[in-house]
Amino acid sequence: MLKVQLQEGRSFTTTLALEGRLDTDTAADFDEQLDKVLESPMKVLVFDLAKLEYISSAGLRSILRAQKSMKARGGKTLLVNVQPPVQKVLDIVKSVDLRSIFASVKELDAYLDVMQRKVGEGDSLD
Amino acid sequence: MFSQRFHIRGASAELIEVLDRIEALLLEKNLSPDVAGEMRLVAEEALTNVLRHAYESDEETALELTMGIEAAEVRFVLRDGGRAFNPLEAGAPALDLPLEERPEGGLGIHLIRTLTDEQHYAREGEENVLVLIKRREPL
Repeated sequence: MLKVQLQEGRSFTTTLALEGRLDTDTAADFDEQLDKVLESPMKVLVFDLAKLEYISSAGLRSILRAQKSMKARGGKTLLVNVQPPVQKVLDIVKSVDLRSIFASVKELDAYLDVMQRKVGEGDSLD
Repeated sequence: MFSQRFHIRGASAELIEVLDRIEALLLEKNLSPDVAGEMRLVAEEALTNVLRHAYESDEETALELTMGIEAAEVRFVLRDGGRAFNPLEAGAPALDLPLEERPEGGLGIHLIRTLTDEQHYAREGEENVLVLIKRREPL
């Protein structure tokens, strides 16, 4: 079971809050939801994983797809509130740039404030 | 020693039921939630790997997973009647390459290798046999 909640706050940012398991059972539906989200022209995609208890390679592939797609448009994919079992899997496959993982929403917000200024000034996010 | 055998025909819902049962049994037998979750992951990766490589998508599968729980270890034995396929021959994924340059795949078997202590493959007659062993921390 996976629940996905879409949150839009900042103008250029979309947050997806995931709850449950991202695995061989749920990844295909999640990919469809992601494709719809990726149609919008946002620059920063945030996965809030506070309630994601489990991820398998099927789920990792979904996250990697999103990362590639965002990178191709000069945007970023960020992770926040990663729980220990999921963090362990991310560490094993080294699938996520450690600079894109934030321990808390507060840390993430501070980072996004800086990004927002950059976008406002027309700078690239890299 | 505790042993439980599961038969999987390949349907996703059925696979998840087996994974739920494996995790529940490990917790029942006093393994930590961390280890139970990791062995659920090992089982998911091993089973989906066999379903993907040893069978055509519409082929009926004869896949069996036996879980043994002993004082010293947890052991999975997977037997399937699909075409010969040794998942352990797959090379390590290119974890040092940037994301966009990495070839797809290989993540599942990498997770299995990292989360278990021993992995053995044998072709026995018409069957693939994969043995995965996780040693338990002494109590």
